[in-house]
Amino acid sequence: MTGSVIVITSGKGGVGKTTTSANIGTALAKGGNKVVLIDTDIGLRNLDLLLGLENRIVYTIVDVVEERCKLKQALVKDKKNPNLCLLAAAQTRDKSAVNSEQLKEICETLKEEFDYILIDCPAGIEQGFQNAVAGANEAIVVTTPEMSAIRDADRIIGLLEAKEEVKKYRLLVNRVRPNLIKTNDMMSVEDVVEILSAELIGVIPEDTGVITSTNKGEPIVNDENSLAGQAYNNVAKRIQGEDVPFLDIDKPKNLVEKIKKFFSKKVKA
Amino acid sequence: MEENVGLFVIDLSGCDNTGEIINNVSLALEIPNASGRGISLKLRDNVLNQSQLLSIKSLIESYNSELVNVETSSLITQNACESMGIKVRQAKAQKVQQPEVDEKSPMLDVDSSSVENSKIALAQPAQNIANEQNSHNMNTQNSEHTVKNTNNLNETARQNKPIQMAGNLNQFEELKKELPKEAVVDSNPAPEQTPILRQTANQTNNEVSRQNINKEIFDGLERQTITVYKKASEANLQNEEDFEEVDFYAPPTNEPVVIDNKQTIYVNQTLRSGQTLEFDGNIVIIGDCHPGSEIKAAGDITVWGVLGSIAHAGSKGNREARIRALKMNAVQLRIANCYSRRPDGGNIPYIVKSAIFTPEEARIVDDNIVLFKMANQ
Repeated sequence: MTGSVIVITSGKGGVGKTTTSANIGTALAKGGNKVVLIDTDIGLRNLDLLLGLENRIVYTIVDVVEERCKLKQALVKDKKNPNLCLLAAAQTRDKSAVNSEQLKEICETLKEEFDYILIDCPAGIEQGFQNAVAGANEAIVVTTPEMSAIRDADRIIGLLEAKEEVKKYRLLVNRVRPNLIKTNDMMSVEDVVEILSAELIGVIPEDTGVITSTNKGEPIVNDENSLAGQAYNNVAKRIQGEDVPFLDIDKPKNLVEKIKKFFSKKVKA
Repeated sequence: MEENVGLFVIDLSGCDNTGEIINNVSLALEIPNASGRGISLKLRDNVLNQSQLLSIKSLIESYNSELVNVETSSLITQNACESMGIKVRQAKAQKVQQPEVDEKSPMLDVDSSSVENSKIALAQPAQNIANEQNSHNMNTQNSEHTVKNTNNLNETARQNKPIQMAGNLNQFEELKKELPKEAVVDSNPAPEQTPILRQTANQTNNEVSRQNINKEIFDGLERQTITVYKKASEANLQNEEDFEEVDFYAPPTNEPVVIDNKQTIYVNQTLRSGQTLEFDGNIVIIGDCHPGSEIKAAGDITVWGVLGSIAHAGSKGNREARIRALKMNAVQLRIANCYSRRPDGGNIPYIVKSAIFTPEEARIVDDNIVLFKMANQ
């Protein structure tokens, strides 16, 4: 078995790399795939918190690299889904504790047992980024519809294109607010895709449920009713090669809006 | 003690060699309120010659502080001080004569002691081996070493990393080999159990080859199972009442008595995420321990505040070690090779952390870590 190694990166911080990693990982595992999440944000780890696995970590990626434990020992199984594993980052060290070659080796080993290896990349383009990208053959670039995030994403895409190993990169637009787009206060998804000229893999609407799910340590994909959860589920399906239409995030809330939308579409046509 | 008013006292009576003294001095000087003050060194029976004193003095001056007086019982040190114009205070000589160097003293060969847990637990710690002859011979070498060591230490202190002085120990091993068998060792049996709040960050160097220790304890285990730590009231223990009645400083009555009078450090600060504290003795923290930090002690851990991080007591195998805190919210509690984790969803949010305190103590009961209430004792 050779799994695919996907790095989730963005350049800018705070756009939702870690949330995306946790949710896509959980969604893929729910679909019956064997998934391992690797947190490469050494010194500022958060992925364990989002999955609610903080209290189970004994060994980290640094322990594996420094041969204090076997790779298998460092994999923390998820509470609910035995198909999902986490390889946590060390909190008491920094990015220089691991180098690209070592991460590449870990990815190669994990490829044999897992279908998907998702790497949560730290912000920035320094050592941490270089490490995270080293073993990857696919990338998901997360961005928000803001100029600063888009500019950083453009820089990242440039760096990814220079890497021979990364065969494919796709764009995920996060924290989209339809009502702001309507009033022209926010860039639309189409604009973002046009500026970056990259293939789109998903659009995630802004959802307050994400904050509560982060605090609870439970990914939002487990919540069937959440719009963001559905969007992440769709992204997971697209990663598996399914052709899923993009979610209509501009969902009309009541009857009056539904009628309005119906007529506005007619007029446009 | 009138002379010491306003001075910053650094207690070095527990040090084995010059390198260690320099390390401890530079560590103590890292403490913010040490700079710009008069420094008083408590040397006791450690021997320093003039060049060593000079290097310590210049080290202190590099931190904008001033070496005011030295408390010593050694004649050589006294003479050196007088020739440099430093005030000397006579210390009571605490010489306990030990017949010879015990080759198998647990404090000396750290590697084997990590395996033999019982030895560590029963060891008489803090043996200050300061051989006068020795430091004479090694003077020149020592001063070379010290420069290197201080550099190292300053760096490690800045990075908040555990301090490992493997180099120092090797040096000590060398010394040991050169020692004639009949050599008389000055020993300071146990640190005085005074209730003084010591400000010295007495991080020591007995912390060696952590990697080896980990390997030996956990080798052959495929996967570590971590059970949830429970409150004594929930644990359904048969001998629950016995434990409740025991004074928490005393070991359970039917167990062998463990003498644990290792050195204790007081840390008067909040431990934040990413910071680690390691010590070969007991640790007392006056402040909170935030999630993401790690405390590791060969002895007990006491937190006067909220314990929200990973705490590892008895890290060298002492299963009698305890962890106590005003409020127990630890992500993981580890005692010797027994690991336990917080129940899921049991996290105390930051907002309510200053609410009513419920002092609790963790210890091993039948291979499980159990919390006992410390109130009403």
